[in-house]
Amino acid sequence: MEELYKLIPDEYAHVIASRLSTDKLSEIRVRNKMPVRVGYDGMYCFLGKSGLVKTPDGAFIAGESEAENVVMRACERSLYTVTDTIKNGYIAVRGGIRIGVCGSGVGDGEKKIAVKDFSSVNIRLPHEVKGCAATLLGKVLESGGVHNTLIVSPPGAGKTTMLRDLCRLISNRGKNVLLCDEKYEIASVRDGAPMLDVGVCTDVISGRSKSEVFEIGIAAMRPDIVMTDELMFGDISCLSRAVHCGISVVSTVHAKDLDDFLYKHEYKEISDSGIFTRYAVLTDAPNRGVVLFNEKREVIL
Amino acid sequence: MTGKLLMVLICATVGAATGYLVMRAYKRNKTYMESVCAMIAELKRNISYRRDSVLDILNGFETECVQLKKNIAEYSVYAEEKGGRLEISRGFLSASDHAKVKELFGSLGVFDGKSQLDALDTFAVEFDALKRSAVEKSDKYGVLAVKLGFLFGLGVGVLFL
Repeated sequence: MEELYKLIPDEYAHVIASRLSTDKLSEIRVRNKMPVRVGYDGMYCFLGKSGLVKTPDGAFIAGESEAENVVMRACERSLYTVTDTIKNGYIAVRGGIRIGVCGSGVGDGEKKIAVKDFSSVNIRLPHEVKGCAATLLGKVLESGGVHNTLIVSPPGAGKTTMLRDLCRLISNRGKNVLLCDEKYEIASVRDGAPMLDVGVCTDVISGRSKSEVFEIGIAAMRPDIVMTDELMFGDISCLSRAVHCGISVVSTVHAKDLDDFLYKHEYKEISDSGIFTRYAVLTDAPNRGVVLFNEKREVIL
Repeated sequence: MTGKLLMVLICATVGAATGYLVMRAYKRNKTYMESVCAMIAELKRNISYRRDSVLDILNGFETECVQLKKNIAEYSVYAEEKGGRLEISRGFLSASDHAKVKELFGSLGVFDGKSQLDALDTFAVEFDALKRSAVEKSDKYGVLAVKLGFLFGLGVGVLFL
């Protein structure tokens, strides 16, 4: 939590430290000149001097350049260290914290070259729940191999947490895992070492696109499994290449449920490919849980 | 007679010491400007490739210049404090040199990579000119100041006789 407290004004940090349980805190939304909002225990409230408040009255009002202050603290007053990720809308901070950033884009023709006038930030805290993927493990690992598994979940339901724990468990079973951590949020590598536990046999490539990792990483590291977050339209060719090389793939995708995934146009290529033989569908709070489907879409867990 | 000779000697020594202090001031300025140029070069080198944070680069930068060390420490406080203001002490610097140094520190970390390197290139040119001027002053007038101080002291001593 020290990393979080460095980012936000002392008055917010003091209230969070003294009145809230940090385990339940999932995000802090700071919008310039607006009440500060927090995601806490699966719901949204405002943050005020007395702790959580349900209405904006009594909530902290962010300063007119508070978003920029958070950004500057997040990059240790070195904007050039995060320019590339800011252009993609986020900053990765030590400890796995990810900050979504809104501001005005600066373009040079078609190309976006910078973001200025930061208007709001969403500070998202990672949650390392060791053992949350333990029930899946038996069904994902079978006869010495690993099923190509897709974790399907709406945003904020814990797919990255689940992926990280699955990675840790599989890796600790002696499988060589290549983790593609595009947004530094799965392993949160800093100074060459993961800040979050992703297992003893995991190699992490951070800040590079899936296509690069699948092309370069597979040849260079010869993994048994490649794990990556947030599949998008167009990633299917990388997955197919890996699977044809005999490498298992575990990934995640944004969707409300399995039907939503199967019938979404942008995921059609992925769902039609037949690559995945396990689908772990997560449900959000208040009924958090996981349902596992096989390749025939039958519930097996 | 001995008293008079002693008087002349004291005046000459005081004159030489004053000249030495002037030489030290020139040299201090020269060392400062050389160190700032080295710091800019280190910032450029790192930002071109590793892109460590400004604080990490400055904390890893070694210099023997006491004033620059102090300025780096002041920048560190500013960078680490929430809502702090950048205060760079002037020390022995002239008002214009101090303003330029403050501008340099104030520009660190507020640009994207390419713009930061461009800004550092501009500062490098400006500080290189200041360095050359400081080196010239130190080499040319430093020793001269000691000699002139000595002669001036001697002259004053002789006039006392």
